Parts: sequence; structure tokens; C-alpha cells
Amino acid sequence: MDDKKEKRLLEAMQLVDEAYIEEASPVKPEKSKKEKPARKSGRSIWIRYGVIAACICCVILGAVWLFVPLKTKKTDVSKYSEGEYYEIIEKLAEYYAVEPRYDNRWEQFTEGVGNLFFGDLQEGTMDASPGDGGNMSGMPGDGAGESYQEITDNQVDGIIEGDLMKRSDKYIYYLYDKTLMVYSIAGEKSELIAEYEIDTKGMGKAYVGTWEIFLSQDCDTITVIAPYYDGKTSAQVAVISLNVENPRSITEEERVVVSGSYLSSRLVDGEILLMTGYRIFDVDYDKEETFLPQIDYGDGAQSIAAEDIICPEELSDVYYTVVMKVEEKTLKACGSKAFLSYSEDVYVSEDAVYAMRNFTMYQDKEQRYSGCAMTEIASITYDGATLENGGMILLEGRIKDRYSMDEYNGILRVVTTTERWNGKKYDCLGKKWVDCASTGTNASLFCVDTETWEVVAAVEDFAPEGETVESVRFDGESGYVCTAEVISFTDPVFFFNLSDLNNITYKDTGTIEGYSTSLVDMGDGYLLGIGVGDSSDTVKMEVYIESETGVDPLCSYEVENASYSTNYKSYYIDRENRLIGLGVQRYNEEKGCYVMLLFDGYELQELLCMPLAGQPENQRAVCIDGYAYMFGHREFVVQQVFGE
Amino acid sequence: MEDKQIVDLYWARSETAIAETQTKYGKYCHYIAQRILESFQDAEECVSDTYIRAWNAMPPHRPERLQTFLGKITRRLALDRYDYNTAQKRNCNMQLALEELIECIPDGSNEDTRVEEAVLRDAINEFLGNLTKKNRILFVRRYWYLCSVKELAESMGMSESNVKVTLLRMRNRFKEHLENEGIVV
Repeated sequence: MDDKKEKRLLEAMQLVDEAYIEEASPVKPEKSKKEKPARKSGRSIWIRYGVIAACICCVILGAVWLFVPLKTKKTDVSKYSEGEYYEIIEKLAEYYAVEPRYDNRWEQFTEGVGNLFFGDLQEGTMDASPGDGGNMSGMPGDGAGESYQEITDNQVDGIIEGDLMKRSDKYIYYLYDKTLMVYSIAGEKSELIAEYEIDTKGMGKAYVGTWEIFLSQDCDTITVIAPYYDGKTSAQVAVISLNVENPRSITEEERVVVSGSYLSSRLVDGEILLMTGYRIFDVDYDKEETFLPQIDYGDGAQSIAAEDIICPEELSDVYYTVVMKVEEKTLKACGSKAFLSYSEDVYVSEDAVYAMRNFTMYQDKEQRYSGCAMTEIASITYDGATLENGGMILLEGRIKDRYSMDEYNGILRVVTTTERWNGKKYDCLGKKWVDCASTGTNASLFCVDTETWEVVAAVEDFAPEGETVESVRFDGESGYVCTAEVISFTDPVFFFNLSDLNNITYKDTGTIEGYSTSLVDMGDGYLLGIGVGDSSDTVKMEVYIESETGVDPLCSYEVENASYSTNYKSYYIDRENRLIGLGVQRYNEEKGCYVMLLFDGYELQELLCMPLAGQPENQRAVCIDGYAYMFGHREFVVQQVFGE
Repeated sequence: MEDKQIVDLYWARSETAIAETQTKYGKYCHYIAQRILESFQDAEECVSDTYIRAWNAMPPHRPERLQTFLGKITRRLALDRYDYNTAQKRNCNMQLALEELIECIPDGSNEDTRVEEAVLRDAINEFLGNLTKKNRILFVRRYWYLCSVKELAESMGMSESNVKVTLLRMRNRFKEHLENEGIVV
């Protein structure tokens, strides 16, 4: 059979309605409870009477059970009052001891039946999409043979983020499917010179999340961050140090395992900041490991010290974000801190780690009638020898991701999507509840002094009502925000001038088609938006420039009937040469392709559209001396894009 | 555990989400991968990759049907791996199913008649919607889950020849339906 036709057939069958797929499932989902055995026939009449009598008793007992008032007792934790973790235990006990919503089970039952017909009218979910990236920075090498070259577009200059690909001036290191591949940089003569399969013994079979690598400044060490699930206990993160002094003979040097799921990591001055998440299940206050994150420094797992745990007055979640600092070469731990109840993305500035927690605040906790979405941001500093507690701030609205935060000259700038119910909002400046005309969603910008932890400036409700923040980017005294009404695929893009906090000004594009899921400052006042066009099936890149009256779209590039990755790290951004690269998967095409564009100041020119295997999420590319080196699913392609 | 609760665990970035998915849908995903790859090891790896994809997709995605969401991921991954393995070997069962299905695709070579995905989706699902429940299950099991005729006969309580004849009739109807819609896959 023709391979292409075969592929199309398979694609066509992928379009079968989900209901039919589920209906035809030959394997039924596993159930924890066993089916009841079938009743046997031919019971004697006495047994029947017995059953009837038992049923009557059950009905009476059931009625009593239904109308007995419900009570939720808070666990008595006073016996731990002398312990180091008493404050945390008390808060956890408070969190788990939720007051009963119903007076008795009958009320609970009748409301439940009501909900079947009328639905749950109050439901809110957080949208926290991961992403990564930032400014380009050229890191100097040590001059001893190989020198480090930065290719990840880090959010903060000099704060290096892990990725699938790193490079020196001689080699490109690409991690794919547990295998580290080393390619020489030699234009069309480039080749795979070494392949090193990471030892996954004891790591189970489920590799949770994307593995990432760092390359040391002297190009001698690759650090692999390998999240996995061992199938028995919980998610773990292995940090593996590989000696790549001789890339043809790679050896594993050190390995450290940290419990929890992988969130993010950074490399700063030879030290790795590892951020992991740890969720509490089945608390037993007699066993620290059931409610405290554990760190293994090599001499057995230990709980994080109480003074190293930052927690809010009232918990909104039982989840820790753990920050651990280790030396890059030796993997020796230099300290750890944990944020309890902070469960969202993490932003790392030049000297601090900011964790956030989103929650809903009600004016009246009992009635829960009017309220608004809130975010609390807490920080720790990491520039000293150890990690130290920083400040905290409460802001109105929800934060989408770490790009919504930026620290500049001691001011933390934050953009949030605000959401209010029944005409009330919490005024973060005045620290009180105030009336507001708008309900639903909008966007606000806050500037927080990181010395005093006070809001020093704010621009509230700057977007059209009903819109949400889709992407944010800061660059020095400028801030860029894309808000959108996702359903109608329209957005404005805002340019903020933050040079004078007493007079923050902004301009916008007005409503335009599509919206950006990532914004990239391309320098010289140009802003690139990567996102969707007039439908979710159109990949769109658009360049914006500020004019006297507003913000104007300058040029765009679109691929129809295609999808792309929203992970910022999968984009190739070269500001110096104004190159943009990303993987695109056209529907009904066998292979995806890697698109590289040149922004010449007027147009986005397509330099290449190279068929490349694999998902856009995992495709990477870099342009060196006129050649584009592209990496996909077990595929490596080199193509000349400049010269000759 | 209910699907909604499992999805909530993914959204809460809880590692238990994987364990619960493995418990509830591990066998289901393995079944799909095994039919395509015919290798226990490959199927296992494919299922592991499915968990990673699910982990990376939720959030932001919140699937309405977790089972089919996972099934679709597994099928896609298995087919990708199958492509990769194709140079070395061919999966007879899958080949056979595809050979059967290709018979009912109209013989059109004109690129202009190639259809939009949405039109094709509607045509396929309209055809399936008009089948009896039993026939629909038979068709989807054969051409989506890639079950063998023998497996279908056993699971549906039919003889193998009956399964073959029923499938043949359905393929003819499918071909007719696509032709009426002016569709070339």
C-alpha cells in the first residue's frame, strides 16, 4: 500500500468521534471496587422475611443517619505544640477541618440532586501554562579549547534556563528521549560524534515532564534534570552530572535525587536552583514525611527545617514549592526553602525566587457572595551563600505565568487577570473592599517596591471588559501585554511606558484578529507576537511597532491548518540577526516542518520551511555562521540559510 | 477515582495523577499500543510516553473524556513509533486492517478533491452514527483499535466469517457514503 495513503487513512480514522471510541473500547477502565456477585435464586420465604425486616431497619437507620447534624471536628494537634513544626501542623489541621456546608446529609443530598439539574454555577479554574525563554546573552568561555555559547532565550539575562539543547563553539548537545547526542558544528559536514544513553535503572518507566540539560561555562559538564515517576512512591527528580570534557567519551560523575515533581530550574554562577513541587496526601502528623518535603543530602532523607518553610496565614492549597540550591559540578546541596500553599509558576530574578498562589477572596467568608480573584507573591533571595526569606505581597487578580512578573531596579512589575463577582473588589493600595462597576474579567498592572513590599503604582482595568491576559513581556522600562477575548480570537496588544511610575502611560493596537501566546521583544522598538490568527488552526506571527497614536501591526506571517508549541523554549530567537524559528505541524501532513523567518525591518521573510520529524514541542534549531542546525525526532538536518 | 478527579490532579501538578491514570487506563492504553506495535516493550514505552504527553497537556487542556484523550495520544504515539520501526518490520494485523479499509476509498487522484479535515470528520462520524450500535462497535474496534478478526469474533460473540462479511458490507457502505460526499482521503 502507498505509505502516504496509509498515513492519510490512519489520520482519517483519528477523526472518529470520541463517543464512538469510548463506546467501542475493548478494554474497560480498571475499577477499584469489585462487582457485586449475582444473587442466587431459590431463597426460602424466611430468608425473604429476614431481608425485608433488615431493609426496614436500614430505612429507619438511614433516616436517622440522614438527619443527624453534620459536624467536622478539627483534629486535635495540641500534642505537637512543643514541636518545631507546630505552626505548620496547626495550619494544615485548620485547612483540613473545613466547616460542613450542610446542616445534615439530607440537605446535602437534596442540593446534590438539585445540582444534577441546574449545574454548579460557581466554578473557576486556574490557567497556568508553562513557558520559558528570555533575553539572549553571549557568555564568555574560558578560552581553553571550547567556549560556551548561550542559545536559550532566557527570561532574565544571565539566569540560564535548562533546555533540550545547549552548545559550545564546537559542539551542539541535544537531549532526546533519555539520550544525549553530541553534534559537531561544521556546516554541511556536521555529524553526530557521540551518543550517551542516560542510565535509567531504578527510574521506572514513566518519565514525567520534559528532561532538560545545562552546559557548564567551561563546557566540561552537562547537568541533566530528569523528572520521573518510579511507579511506587511518588514523582522524583534526578539531577545527573555528566563529564563531557571529551564528548566522545562521556561519563556520569554524580547523581542526586529529590522528591517531588519538577517545576523549573536555573543555572546561576555555577549553582543550580532546582524548583520542585510536593503535594500532601493522607496526612499523619506523627510521620513528618507525610506533610513535609524531604531532601536527601546523601545521608538519608530529611525534612526541611521549619524556619525554611514560608506559608501564608491561611492555606489555600496543601502543596509545597521547594527551592533547592546545588553546586553544578559536585551536586553538593547549598540550601533549601519551601513555600507552602504556593502552587503556581515560579519567577527567578537576578537575586530572588518568587512563588505565587492564586486564590479567591470573599468579602464575607461565610456567604461567599461577592469577592475577587487574588494572588499572593512570596519571595526568597538566593544571592548569598544560603537562601533567605524575602517579602510577600497580596495583589488583585490571577497571574498567568512567570512572564507576567519582572523585577527591575528594585520594583517588581506584575500583570494580572482580574475577576470579580457581584460588584466588589479588593483594593490592594487602600487594603480594603470597595465597590466596582465591572464584573467579569479584565487586566491590571501593579508595581511593587521590593524593599517595603508596598504597591507603589498601578494601572487597573486597562483592557476591554471580558478579556484575559494571554501573554506578557517586560524589557527595562517597557512592558508589553496581550489581552484577548479567547472565544472571538481578537486581542489588543498594549505597550506600557514604565519610566515614570507616577505617570505610567500606555498605547494599544485596538482590536485585531488573533492573539499572541508569547511576546518577544526584538529590539529597536519591535515586538513580535507568536500565537494564533482568526482561528485556533492558524499559526500567526506578527510584528508590532509603537507609533505616535498607538501600536501598529507592521507585518505578519501565517500558516493555516497547523498547530505549534506554546512552550517558549521551543522557539529560536536570535535578536542580533533578527531570526525567529519554530516548529509547525500542518494537519494532514506526514511530517511537521521547521520554519525559520528573518525580520528585515519591513517583512517577515521565510528563510526555510524544512520537513522535520517530531512534535513542535521538542524540535529545536540554532543558526550558526549561516547554517541552520535543526533537531527533531531522531532527525538532524543542516541547511544553509545565508551566504553564497 | 473519577476522571474529573484525575484531571484535577493533573491540574494541581500532583504526581498521583500518573499513578491513577496508570491504574485506571494503563491496560487500555497498552492494548491500543500493542495492537499497532505488536511488541510488549515498545507498547510499554509508548504508554509511558502517553503519561508524559498527558502531563504536559494538562494544564492547559481539560479533556472532556479522559479515556479517549489518552487513547488518542497512545494511538498517535504508537503510529509514530510504528513509522520509525517500519523499515525493519511490518505489522501484519495493522496492514491487513488498512488494506481492507483502503478498498473503500474512492480512487481519486485529483488534488482538488482532497477534503478539509472538518468535512472528513463529519462524513466519518455521520456514517458511524447511522450504523447500529453493534456494527459501529465492530467497525471502530477494527479500524480504530485495530483488533484482529479473531478478537472481534470472540468479543462480539460472532463467528469469524460473520465478522468478515459484516465488515465487508460496512466497508462498501462506507465507500458509497464517502463517494456521495465527494470525498477522497
